Amino acid sequence: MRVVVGVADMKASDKKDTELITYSLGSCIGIAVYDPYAKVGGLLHYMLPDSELDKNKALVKPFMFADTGVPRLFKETYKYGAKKQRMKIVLAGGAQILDQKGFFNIGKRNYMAVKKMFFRNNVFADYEAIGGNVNRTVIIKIDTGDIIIRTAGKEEKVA
Amino acid sequence: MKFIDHLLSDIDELEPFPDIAHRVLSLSGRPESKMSEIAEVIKFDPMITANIIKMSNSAYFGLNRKVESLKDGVGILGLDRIINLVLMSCSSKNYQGVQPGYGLQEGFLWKKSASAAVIAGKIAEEKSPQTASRVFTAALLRDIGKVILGRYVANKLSKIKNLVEKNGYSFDEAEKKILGINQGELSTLIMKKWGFPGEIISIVRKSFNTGLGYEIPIESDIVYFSHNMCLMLGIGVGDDGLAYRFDENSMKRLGFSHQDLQVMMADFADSVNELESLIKSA
Repeated sequence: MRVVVGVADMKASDKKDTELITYSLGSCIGIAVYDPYAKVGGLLHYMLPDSELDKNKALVKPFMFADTGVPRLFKETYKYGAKKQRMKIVLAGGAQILDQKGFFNIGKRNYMAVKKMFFRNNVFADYEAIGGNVNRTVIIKIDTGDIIIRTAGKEEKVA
Repeated sequence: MKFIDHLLSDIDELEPFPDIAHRVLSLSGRPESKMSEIAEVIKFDPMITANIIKMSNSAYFGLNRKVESLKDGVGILGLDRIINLVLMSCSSKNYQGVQPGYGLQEGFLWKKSASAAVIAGKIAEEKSPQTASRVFTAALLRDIGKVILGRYVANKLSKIKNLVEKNGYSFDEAEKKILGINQGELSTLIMKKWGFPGEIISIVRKSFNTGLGYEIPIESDIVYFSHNMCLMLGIGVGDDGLAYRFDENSMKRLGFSHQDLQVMMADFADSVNELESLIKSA
């Protein structure tokens, strides 16, 4: 069964017949996590770096922001028995329009936000497909743990 | 037959923009236009009438009562919104289908065009209320050139991408270099052939000229911004990716900070499901 993770959304699953997919990341970031032992996966699609922008919105839609979405992604997979130490982690997205610089470069700021959080919590990504001007789609197959990135019609198993 | 002649004959394969849309559009921005006038224009087209009622009842508007007639819809939503719904209803068919050259799946280009139009319309309500419907129309039709050009981009995609990836061209600059015409130029040709007023065609044309040193009217800045926001959100983005130019000065002219940009992205995400219901019902 294909479960679509929308913009500012997150899904986790331990169902073997499930495939989590998030389309068209643009400047948003997709984080795919998978614990091969527990066979549990989670996928987050956040769009902005910091919930300080709108605290009320973050309460209603925590997956909109990196700082409120990322911890929930991990916690949700723990509920199914996943453990951080065993997880493989893939980051994708954070693209930018040509000449999009500085504060207007939302893609880069989205990436910096998750990197800071990972650094503070001693978490490392196994694979990153970040930046550039391309649009990315991320898929996790819960049965096999395959994490696939689709860019311009081409699919690559990256973890 | 020259390449440009092929393109012009291809335009005839598109669903022509109905006269009713032009008549409705001519009512916009005129203070003397009355609600009853628009209902008079639309009511003789049963398909559009049914569509307007369906769209008025979509979750996007969140009305607490059901719209059951055109008169109801016009009364509740107001003139400008109804004009925008008519234009959406008349545009959707041409945007459906797959655009192979741009790697866009069924409905993706429609979703982008409709989303950009809604974003642009909202900004225009605040920044340029007198021309809000024209801005909405320009944003809605800015990508219409892709529907035709995609057929030719497909055969030259590797050359175009090569210029983008290795020579720093934007996708539309590379189209121009390889095909002799880009999506923006073709959009304006199509709109001209469909008989759109020069001022709307000019808004579209100038929305492709930001950052080139020309004077850009606020309407074109809004249209340009709305399409860029869709790119950032990954809406209707295909093999061309985000390989278009970002002009920070356009943001400044609109008075938008990076904070404003994020607020607008967040607000858009809040209503994305409702907007999808509107787009699907068009």
